[in-house]
Amino acid sequence: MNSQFKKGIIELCVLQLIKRKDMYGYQVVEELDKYINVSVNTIYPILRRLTNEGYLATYESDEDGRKRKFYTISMPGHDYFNKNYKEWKEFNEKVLKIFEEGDNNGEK
Amino acid sequence: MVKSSFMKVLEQELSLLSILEREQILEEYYALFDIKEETGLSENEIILELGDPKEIAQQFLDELNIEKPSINQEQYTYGYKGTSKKNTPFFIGAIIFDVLIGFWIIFTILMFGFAFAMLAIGLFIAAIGVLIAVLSSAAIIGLGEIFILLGLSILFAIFSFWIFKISIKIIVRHINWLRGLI
Repeated sequence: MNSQFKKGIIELCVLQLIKRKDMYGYQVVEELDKYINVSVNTIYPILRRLTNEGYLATYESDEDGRKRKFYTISMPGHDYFNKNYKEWKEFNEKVLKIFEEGDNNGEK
Repeated sequence: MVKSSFMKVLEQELSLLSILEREQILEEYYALFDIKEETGLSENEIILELGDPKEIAQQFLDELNIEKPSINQEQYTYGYKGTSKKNTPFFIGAIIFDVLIGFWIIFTILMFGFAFAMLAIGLFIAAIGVLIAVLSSAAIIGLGEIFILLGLSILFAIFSFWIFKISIKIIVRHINWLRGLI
């Protein structure tokens, strides 16, 4: 799949998962990997960029007695997610429609 | 390849990023090593799984929209590689950096000494307290005073142990921090 296209969707998935629950870096990878095959090397740069852009914020917290850096979604992150999710959904619906209509060109 | 050289390459390849950003990325990878090591993987296996640190760095640079200057551009954009005069800010930076690291190493050693001294003093005073209490067995000073002395020395021992624990914590933090820098 076109990598730019895929990246945008993965970014959206990352935001959705963190919206659901604050997570540390590797946790995001593990969670996402349950659905789609992703690697640390794809997710970490995305987390980095989303943090740079202010859509994610980080804080340190203990998990099982270990200090971990958790990611949480910010207010701009929520807005960004909602906007992109809506766009993606609309686009996806149109694409699906094309395939659902299949090879039928209107003539019966 | 071992962890330290993997991290070193990653750090070098991320040199176009700010120190803070680079530190944060390296921190993520250190944490990742810890997580993977706990599952029983060796450093080597983890590095094999992660792949080439140069490619990893490139993925970060791509994602963050940072272009590596080509060789021609480099001569213009990164003048410090050219004449020695333009090297000065870099060297001053490096010297300050080294001095700071030196300072932290000395600080760490001093803290270590201080921590152990506090522990030793605490234990010593507690021991003397007990000794006096036992030896003088109510002849010279009253039983009440002995208990006060005992109580005070134990309190002091607890207090110094507490200081000792805090100092060790500070030391560990500094060592981790230093490890991130070097």
